[in-house]
Amino acid sequence: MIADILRFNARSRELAGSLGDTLTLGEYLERGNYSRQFVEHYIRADGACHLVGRSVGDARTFRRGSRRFLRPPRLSCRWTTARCGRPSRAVRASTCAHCCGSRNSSCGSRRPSNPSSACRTRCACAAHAVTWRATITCSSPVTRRRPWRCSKRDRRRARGPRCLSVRRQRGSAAHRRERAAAPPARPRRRGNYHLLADRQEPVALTYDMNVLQSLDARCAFWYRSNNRKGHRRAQGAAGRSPTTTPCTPPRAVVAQARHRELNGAHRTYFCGAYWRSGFHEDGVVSAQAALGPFRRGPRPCRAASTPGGLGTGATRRCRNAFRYRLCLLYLDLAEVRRRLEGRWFWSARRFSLARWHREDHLGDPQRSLDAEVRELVQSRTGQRPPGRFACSRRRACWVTGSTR
Amino acid sequence: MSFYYCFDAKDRELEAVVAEINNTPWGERHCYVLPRAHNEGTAAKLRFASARISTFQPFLPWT
Repeated sequence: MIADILRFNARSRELAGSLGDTLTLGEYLERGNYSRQFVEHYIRADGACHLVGRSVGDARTFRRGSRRFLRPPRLSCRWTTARCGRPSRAVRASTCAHCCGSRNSSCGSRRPSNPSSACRTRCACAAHAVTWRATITCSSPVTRRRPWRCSKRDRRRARGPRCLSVRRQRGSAAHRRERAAAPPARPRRRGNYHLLADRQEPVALTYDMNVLQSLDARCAFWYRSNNRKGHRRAQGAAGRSPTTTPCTPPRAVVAQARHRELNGAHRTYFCGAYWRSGFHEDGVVSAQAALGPFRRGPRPCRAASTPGGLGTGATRRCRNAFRYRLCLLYLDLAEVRRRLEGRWFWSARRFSLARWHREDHLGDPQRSLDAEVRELVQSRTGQRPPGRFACSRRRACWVTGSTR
Repeated sequence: MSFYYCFDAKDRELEAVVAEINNTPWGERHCYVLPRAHNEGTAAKLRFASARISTFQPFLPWT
């Protein structure tokens, strides 16, 4: 993967100007034997960065797009910042394959020439896939003018025409981001994504690789991720690739909205690209969200000894805090055995109602507890306590683990 | 849980507290040595804070 990235970045610029206009990016990737991971997880993600970028034409696009992508990305089909190199021809509607063949977008009034079952009931191009073909010319960025409204000065500044054959299919958006950028009502607007009528179909995206990789090429290199139903070979200037773009069905979109609610329930955290648009940056973002509760590290535990009580809790909200009462016996370690001998129900040697059990405490049972504690304190603090030791220990109490 | 109170040579001032933690069913034992210098409370009411090095209940999370 890394080797492919380095190889692509190093060679693509050199080859872009020498290979001519006939080679597409898809062919270039296939010829170069680039790995599938590289195509799916690098080229496509680059394209996503490009899609969210507002300007077109230089390296700033990629950086800006990258930053925007790390935030909640918005794929927009309106490249309002693009500047055209030549007047863009108007978008014209092509024949709807499912309906009546009208060149208008609203053909519901006409009788379908080859009606399908869907056409009989709805008979509207909006319910099917209406293909729009547009010739787009764009180059460097900056202004917010639409390409068909650019001035002559802008055209002169343009470095060269870059053409894109855009197919935009109207229908139900299967992708959240694309849904946000729903097909505009005005057909003259450009788009570089495909919205498919079938929700099960993946969304296809078209990326301008000249912008992504800053290719100084005379021709435009486009990368288009196709859907599964045919269209293996992209038409026009777009490259070809058998890859598909991840699809997010509507139920998944509903689940994505509950990300915060689901994360952390039952101490289970979810992360993955499926929480957002399906790109690997989305996986990183969701991983950061999953790791959020762990960023502070282990929670400090605070314990306090109060007369007759022991509490533990946390510095922040904790569902596992507990508090219970204790009864501790206060003894001098130097005379613990002498104090307990000769008393009823108390013993330091044999079984009794209350027994001093040396094995329950620190260190070697063969040594005195007093010496063990002194050595422990000396090893931790560097100073050996000179005085006496008092021990408050449990007395015939069992603390259960039911702390929830 | 057992507490060991370490006094000075005159047996008046408390020098340190050793908190011994036993999670009985699992047989683990850890000791927290809490010097007086780390006391966050008052002389009459000691209060120490320490990073947890043992789990009281293995089924409870550390978070």
